[in-house]
Amino acid sequence: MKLKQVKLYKEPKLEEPYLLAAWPGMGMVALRAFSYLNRKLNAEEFGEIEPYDFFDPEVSIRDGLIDVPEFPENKLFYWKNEKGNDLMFCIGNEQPSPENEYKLADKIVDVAKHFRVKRVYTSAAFALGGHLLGERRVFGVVTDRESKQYLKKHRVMLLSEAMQMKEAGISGMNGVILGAARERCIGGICLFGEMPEAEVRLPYSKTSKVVCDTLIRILELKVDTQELEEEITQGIKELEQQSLRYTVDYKDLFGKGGKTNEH
Amino acid sequence: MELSPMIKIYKEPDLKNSYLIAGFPGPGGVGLGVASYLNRLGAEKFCEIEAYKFSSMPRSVIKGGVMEELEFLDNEFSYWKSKGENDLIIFKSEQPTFKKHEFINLALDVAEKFRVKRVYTSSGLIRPVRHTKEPWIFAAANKPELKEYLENFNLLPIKTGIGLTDLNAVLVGSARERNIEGVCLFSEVPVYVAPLPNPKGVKSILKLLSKMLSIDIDLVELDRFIKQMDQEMEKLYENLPEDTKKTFVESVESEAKLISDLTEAEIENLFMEAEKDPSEFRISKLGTKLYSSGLFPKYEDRFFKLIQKKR
Repeated sequence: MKLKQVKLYKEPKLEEPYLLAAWPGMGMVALRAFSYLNRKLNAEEFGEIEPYDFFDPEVSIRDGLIDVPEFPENKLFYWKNEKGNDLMFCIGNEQPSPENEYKLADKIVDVAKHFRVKRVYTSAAFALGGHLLGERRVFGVVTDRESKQYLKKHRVMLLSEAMQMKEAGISGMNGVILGAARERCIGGICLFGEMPEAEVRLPYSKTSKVVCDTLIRILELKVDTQELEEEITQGIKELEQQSLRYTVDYKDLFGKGGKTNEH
Repeated sequence: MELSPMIKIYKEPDLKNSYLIAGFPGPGGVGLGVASYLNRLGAEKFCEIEAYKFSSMPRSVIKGGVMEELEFLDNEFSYWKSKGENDLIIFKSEQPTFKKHEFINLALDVAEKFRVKRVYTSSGLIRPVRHTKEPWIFAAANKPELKEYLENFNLLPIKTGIGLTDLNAVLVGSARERNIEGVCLFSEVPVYVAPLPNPKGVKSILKLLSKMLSIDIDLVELDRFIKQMDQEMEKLYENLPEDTKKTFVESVESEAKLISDLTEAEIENLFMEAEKDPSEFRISKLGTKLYSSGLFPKYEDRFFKLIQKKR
């Protein structure tokens, strides 16, 4: 296949594959959950979307020398499923600027059309005020009737039913890809995981695990998410240690007698 | 060499051992200011890139009530024949918004065609310093052989920096792929006046370049502009909260040796852009950079203030 701006190292033969697409977003939910699955399934990299038209170049200085420009990546992976639909992954490590979102999404749909992708899956976070005690829930949002029935069959509630709301939004590529695919007759599902508002800007969130578990369940895969849980716990601990380092400096500046929230 | 039809060459000057001085927008407008001021040497325009696919913000030029021109991205190459060893090509350009990589490579195509040996760019380094300070100049090169060359000029070396988006730095990185030598000079720009023109920075770079290139540049016009801007900057400085003022350092030589990493300067760049355009995209980009550099707690208050302002 000769598609401009797409580099394929090989052309796997895929049977009615699902496309799992993920980019950085709130709480890094989509990226963390889908990357984990990609790794655990040992999916094979088979191509990438060339970044030059969708992303800005960046340079790094190493040992006093300015290096050649570097770009974010949008890599393509595949996994052959003996017991169901094959899976294709598109994992991006950075969001493009808003002007380039649709163009990038449309390019990925070109690839999806070529491989006869049956459905696109993405994920997002549903931010709620306050703390979340107990299990975080996962809801679905769909762009076609078949996907709606698929979710019903697998007992995933629709966001509109659970929250009784008429409108919601998915910012960035995790949303735009669904719209771009739908325009070209490929339906999709977005798995929304509940998340406390405070975690929205953090790079680690327990919501990634519940989303990953739900995805594994509805795709009927056999993947364990214990490691993902550990990754998240470790990540949260490191963030707290970073903050603590600065809190300690603060204490030093102001001497004893300062109160801190130690519990 | 077959050039893209987007490159419009009006004249092919015969240039020897030419150096390219390039300037893109950046903090303090230093890069663009340096390139613009060099044109006063009597440089003649000879080339430009037709840039309609690189800009999302075209402007129309109206003369006498008639729209004469639709300008997508103002850019020009001019040349100056020196009496010394190296002729100069001066390239200045507005900021491309799309396909920056391709645009930079078109500029380098022109450089290659005219057998440019080395490219010099300059920009501003946003730092917590006062505007009254004589700005230090930091430098980075794209080839090991140049490091020695830079030592002759008493510049402060930059050792590291991850993910710099300033096109003045990117051009030098791209030049490396073409085997063209490159130097990027950064002049200090105070954080509270970063979006404003910084003629003091421009002057310090020009003084350095006149030494490096052995050329004479009359800087008197700049002094007037510097006086003007100093007054404006003084007003902005006075309006800062007292404890912020206290964090700004004056010239401390020992501190200079510690500034070898550009990551915080890049973070200041991202803050400046997010303050100008507090969109979800820019805020997320800044947040991600803060986490990946491990510096989130240091900038936490400032970051959350930015988000609150957005609301």
